[in-house]
Amino acid sequence: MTKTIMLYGATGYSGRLIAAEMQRVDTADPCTYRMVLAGRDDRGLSAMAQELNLDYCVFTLEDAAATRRALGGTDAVIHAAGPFAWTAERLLTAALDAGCHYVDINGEADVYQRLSQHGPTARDRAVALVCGAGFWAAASSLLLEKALDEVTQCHRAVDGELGAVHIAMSRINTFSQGSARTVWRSQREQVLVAGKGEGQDANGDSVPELVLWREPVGRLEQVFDFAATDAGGSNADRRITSAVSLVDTLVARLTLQRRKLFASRIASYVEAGLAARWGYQIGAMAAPVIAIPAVRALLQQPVALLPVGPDAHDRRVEPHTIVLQIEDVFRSPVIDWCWTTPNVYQFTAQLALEVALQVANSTLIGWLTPGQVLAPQALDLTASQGVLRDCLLTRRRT
Amino acid sequence: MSHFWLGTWRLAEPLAPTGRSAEPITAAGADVLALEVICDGLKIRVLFSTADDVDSPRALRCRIGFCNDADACNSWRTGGFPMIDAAIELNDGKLRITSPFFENVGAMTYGADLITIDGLNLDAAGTAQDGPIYEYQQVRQTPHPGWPSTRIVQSPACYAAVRSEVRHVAGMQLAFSGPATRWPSLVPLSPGPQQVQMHHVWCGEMALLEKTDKPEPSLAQRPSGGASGSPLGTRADIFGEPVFRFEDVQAYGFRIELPDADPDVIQGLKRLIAPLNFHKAPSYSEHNPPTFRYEPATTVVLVELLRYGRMQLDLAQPPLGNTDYQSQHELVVRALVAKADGHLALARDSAVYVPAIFVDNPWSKVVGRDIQGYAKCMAEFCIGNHMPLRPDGVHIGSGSMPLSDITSIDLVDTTHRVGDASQRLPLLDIRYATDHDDELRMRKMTTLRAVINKTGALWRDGDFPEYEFANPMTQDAVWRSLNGFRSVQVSPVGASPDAERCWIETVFTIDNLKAASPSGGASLVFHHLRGAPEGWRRLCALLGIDEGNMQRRNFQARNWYQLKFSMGMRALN
Repeated sequence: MTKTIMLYGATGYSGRLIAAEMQRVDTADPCTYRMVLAGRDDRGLSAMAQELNLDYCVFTLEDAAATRRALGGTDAVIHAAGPFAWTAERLLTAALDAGCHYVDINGEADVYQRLSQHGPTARDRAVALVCGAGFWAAASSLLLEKALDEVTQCHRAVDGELGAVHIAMSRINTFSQGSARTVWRSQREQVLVAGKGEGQDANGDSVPELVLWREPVGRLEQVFDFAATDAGGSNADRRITSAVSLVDTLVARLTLQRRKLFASRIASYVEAGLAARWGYQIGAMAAPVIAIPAVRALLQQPVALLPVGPDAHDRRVEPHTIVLQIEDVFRSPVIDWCWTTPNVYQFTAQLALEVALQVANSTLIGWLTPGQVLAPQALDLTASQGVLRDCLLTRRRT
Repeated sequence: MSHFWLGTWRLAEPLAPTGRSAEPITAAGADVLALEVICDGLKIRVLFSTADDVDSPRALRCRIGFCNDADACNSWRTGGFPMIDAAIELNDGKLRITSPFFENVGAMTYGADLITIDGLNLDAAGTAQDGPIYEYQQVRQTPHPGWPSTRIVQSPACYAAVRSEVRHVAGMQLAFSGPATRWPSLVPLSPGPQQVQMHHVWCGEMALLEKTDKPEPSLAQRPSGGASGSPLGTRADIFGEPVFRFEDVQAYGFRIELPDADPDVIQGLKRLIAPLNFHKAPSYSEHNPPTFRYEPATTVVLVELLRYGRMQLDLAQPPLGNTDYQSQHELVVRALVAKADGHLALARDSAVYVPAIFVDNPWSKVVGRDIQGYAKCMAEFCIGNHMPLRPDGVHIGSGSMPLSDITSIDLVDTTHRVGDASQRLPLLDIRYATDHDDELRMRKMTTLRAVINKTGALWRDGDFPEYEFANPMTQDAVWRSLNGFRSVQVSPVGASPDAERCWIETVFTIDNLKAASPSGGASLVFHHLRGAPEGWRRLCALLGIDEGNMQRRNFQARNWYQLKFSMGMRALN
């Protein structure tokens, strides 16, 4: 039976990349899927649909009834229209009402938290919700699922306990406007960190739990080796990273919780040069000033001057690197993987579409992590083809 | 061991399905009917069923049943039997079932016999035989967790009892008599009188579980069903539109102010609202549950005594129109809760949670438990020397009594007719220091906020010492929208611990509001009753009352309040 996959926000920067991926899949297998481009820009969608030979549909999220109607009969919708703080919940609730699976590429932790409340409803209505299915969260989620499989097989988790779980990402040199705004917001917020702590059961009695807490921006810094070589070699590429609030932390927490594992700390880091580190320190102290609307508007001017996103050449020459480190309870490294991926925006497009295709064809329901959706497919991270084309995994230590 | 009596008979003409839920016996069509009476001392269960065969029934489906054991009624109902609390007497072969019904348009009829059955002899002599081996094939109906206000999940459940010393009795005839009721209607057995010749009657012994945590019926384990069923149409098809209207509501409310710095109080409050945090159970960790938990937003708990003058459907559901109404008394405990995330500064989505609630109208109890997630239990609301009132506030021989005359609320163990003696199981005693003239003090209010400010009723701004709950939005969330408040409960009620649960949210809107801060004081005596529902026992534990003991709490002026209002209620998806 043909599955209908809709992309909302198709005319945006990320949307265009995802649409190109949809066309690639549609060309390779025209009978299995019906790809639909959607958004509120009638003219832009029409031109794009003609160019890519795909269907299109026009509606605005402000019209809830129209949104529900548009999602009727859709198996999965990919949401690529930011700002997600404004748009995500609208499309998600419409998807719940329409019985349509929902996938987005949101990278904002607070939006992720808010949307996660709909998890129980999604499960009750047999709908899958996958937030953070783009580079932010999906890449590290997939890597973490594979790594924890190996940790479990090697019995390196003593009584289900691990040391720290660190996710580090190389710097993005060419931001899109949307990503820049996300980073700008994170400057003013504290860093979300997870780790084993004291939670409460239904009766309010203490139970161990992976709790969340916040650390000041700039306080947590780590050095990671971003070289795709064995550890300790002369070609090590050590870079300073600073912890930031990323969806990856929340997804990693859910992954460990689902596997009944505890970690002393789960944090996500982004490479930070001197200017960025200085900015984090100043940003934390100047947050009250930056919060003044006039000041904020002034400081955000440079964001508007950014290009919509990196062009094809920039995307080709700017791959990305994720480092995953997992320690055991004795603080010995158990996992030290380095995964080179395509440019974040290109990889987002590949991952988001793959997640949507998987949920449309599976029986998974409820609030899901991207790794939950992709891992069962037994993706070989070294295969370097299909959705993982142009990726390179280096296992430095297990 | 209990005694059972099972009779089967074939109708003169098979009845086609009518689809009318007001006529439960014939709604799905009827050809062979069965009547089973199960007696355990004075505890009696009466099941009106359809059967697959008159001579050797194997599959019965209970269409409506009555039970005077309050706890057992809840258990049977949870198991899928449409049981209703009723006063049941069996004397000299005559069975009387007293339960509220609609006969004439308007008010419900209380205290009258719904049906009587003459000729029942549980000790009748007969021929010993193995008897039919039959099972009840029931359907458990619970709100669909995805659409709790509009859809129902129907899960098949089968029960087979162990029966012994079975004997076959020949030639028994029963006489059914009863009024021509509109709802519920026991057609074709009523209106009476009418004689029915039983094709077969079996009597004997039946093993029932003692009253333990295990639900009745006792029956062998369910051989099938229990898996998640499929939504079947909309809730409107089965129970009617879940939109209700309440008129002439009177309330006395009492603010229990607990110390907010006492860790035992905080822990006790968390236990009081524990059912809301079912998603924190280990079994839910596989489903990536949300990180929030429900927390008590304040250490002030409200205990309210209410009288609903008119409870009616907002839309007519034939044969009931929107001029037909029921009445009831209600004792309710209210806690204000909100969702809190440990790493976030502010709580959100405040709502009212009811951990314990008692009513005296069995039909209201059924709707509350089945649809709204309220764990309603039956109680008697008494005046004077423990004289129960009818749900409409009438005391037989004295007429309608004011709400302030109610001085005790007793838990019902065995439902009996109003006026009959019963063992007293006290939950709450109420005394007022002075005879306050309610009407003179009642002032019309336009908003709940005005009620709070002028009478000190409900929850006040100063009740939120914790920063995360003191946010004005959190407080006002309860009162802000057009005199409404949101409530949250958990469904299904009475389910086994491993059953999946969901939250049911309901919006209440208030109008025609009057309020007063009565003069003088009042005192409540809380009884920590051993057999009381879990929510009441947790409240008593929170108040520091040991099981079997009681505690008096005094309420000075402005710590208790009086309200009169009308209210609409609508469940949310």
